[in-house]
Amino acid sequence: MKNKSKPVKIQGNMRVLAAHARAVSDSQATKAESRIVIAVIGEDRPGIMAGVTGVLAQVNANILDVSQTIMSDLFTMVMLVDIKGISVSFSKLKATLNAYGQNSGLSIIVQHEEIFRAMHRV
Amino acid sequence: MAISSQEIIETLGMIHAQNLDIRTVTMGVDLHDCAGEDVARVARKCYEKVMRKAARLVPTAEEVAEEYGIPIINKRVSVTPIAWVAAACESRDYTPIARELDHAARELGIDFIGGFSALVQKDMTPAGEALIRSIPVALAQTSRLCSSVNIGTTKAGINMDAVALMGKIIKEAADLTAETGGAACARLVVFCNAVEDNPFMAGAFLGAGEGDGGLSVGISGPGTIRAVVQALGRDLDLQRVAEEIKRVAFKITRAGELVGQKCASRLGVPFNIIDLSLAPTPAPGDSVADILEALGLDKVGCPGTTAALAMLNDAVKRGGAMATSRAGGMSGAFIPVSEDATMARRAAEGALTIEKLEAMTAVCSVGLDMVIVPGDTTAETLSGIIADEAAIGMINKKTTAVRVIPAPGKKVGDYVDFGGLLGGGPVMPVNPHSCAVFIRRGGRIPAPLQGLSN
Repeated sequence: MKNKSKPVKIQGNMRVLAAHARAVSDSQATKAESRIVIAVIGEDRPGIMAGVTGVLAQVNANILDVSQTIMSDLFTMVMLVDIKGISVSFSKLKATLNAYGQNSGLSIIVQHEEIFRAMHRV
Repeated sequence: MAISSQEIIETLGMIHAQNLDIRTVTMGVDLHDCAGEDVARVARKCYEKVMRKAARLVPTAEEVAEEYGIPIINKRVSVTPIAWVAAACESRDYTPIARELDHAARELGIDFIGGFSALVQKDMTPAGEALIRSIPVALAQTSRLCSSVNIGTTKAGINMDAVALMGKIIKEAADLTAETGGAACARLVVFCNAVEDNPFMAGAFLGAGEGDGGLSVGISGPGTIRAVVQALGRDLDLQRVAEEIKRVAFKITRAGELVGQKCASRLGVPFNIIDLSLAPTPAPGDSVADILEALGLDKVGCPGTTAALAMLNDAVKRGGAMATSRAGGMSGAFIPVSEDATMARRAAEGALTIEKLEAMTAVCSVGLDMVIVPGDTTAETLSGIIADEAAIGMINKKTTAVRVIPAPGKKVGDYVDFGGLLGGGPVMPVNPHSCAVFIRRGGRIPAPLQGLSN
């Protein structure tokens, strides 16, 4: 009897673990639909981050994560942004950011996060 | 697990520096229900059905491309082979249907519409033959219509009467479009073992078992793979090189899978297949030949080319098959000459010959593709080229094809430019000795033992 009870317990634990993993992955997939990645590249100068985040704040976009670095004198910033509650459409936000980028000499690339998840996760 | 900024930058590099894109989203439209006796009425019904079914294809594809930040180069429609749709027509001139399909393509803003096609691998029905005879005028009078004819399969053998006829049809199509270098032939492909769910042109059509259509995706990405191979340096052994190609093919395919799913669900149609093909364009760096040269060939066409291509082709399939459960269509590297700038250059230099291309087609997809030959190449010689390719496909149970342009008035060394994705290339020399007696025998090359697989 003792020998039999052990595998049952592991199996039960595994089932809980699998359910948990599925819940995590489902919630990430749902979240990914409302999350976008914004990449900003340009010559380094004061105020770039303030400018871009200003545009985002205006439309009520929520910044989740920012990573910024200087690579060979170029300012590079990657942001993860939640657009669930934004006051304009995705394409309007993208156009606004692109226009801002053009006026400030920056390349700004805006994409849904899902594409990255699809390409980099099995 | 969150996506790291390194992964994000890698993806952005693939798209913005290495030409990663989705080559095509192709929507199938079944036209069986447009059949009738009056060809003008059939043509009208075909037009209306394509317009209705594919109305939202272009805006939807553009929307998805914008949101996910990955370009979709072509939007296309594939239809039921018109030889089936037109079989009940009293008229044997099917060109009105061709014009209406082309009309629909222009109205929808799609790049190509494929399916002016007949499947005659064993024998021709009167409708099959009528369709084939309608091809030259149909292509000359249209600009976006694509046509294909299947003249052989592993199960049926090769219909040599159809092969002989297609040699003449290609010549006629070239002559009718002489002022553009015979450009009609760039929209005409002769197949052995044609696949019924191919999203790539000129050979796309919607087979009888494909239901009411759906959305298929053809991926691209030669530039991305070349960049990876180049970064590996010159000393890494081939097994590890293959592993790296496999990894990047996985990522490319996943991008295609996502785009396909999003487009299909927004259009409210099933997601059909994803074609794991490396499709080049004439754009600098978007070349399959560049990958082969990055693997260590001086010039594509030199000894080692077939082996390098075989390895590349298999590695792409391995990565792709892991990334999607919907692999279909052609699924293999394409080696069109005029559509691949480096391929065209090597052909002009004499490094790449038609005979070497033929050998290469034994290990990849799909055949002698966008090969420009002298205008005085005879119909029998063209038929001989078709028969050779078909034999490779028939024996190896794979799809092979011939899309060859006998450019009127052009000689070896001349250059012909078709523009756009079709690119341009040199007129390549053809073996001058004749196979006319062999071709005129007609009949059928019997199905090989390979076909007896049950």
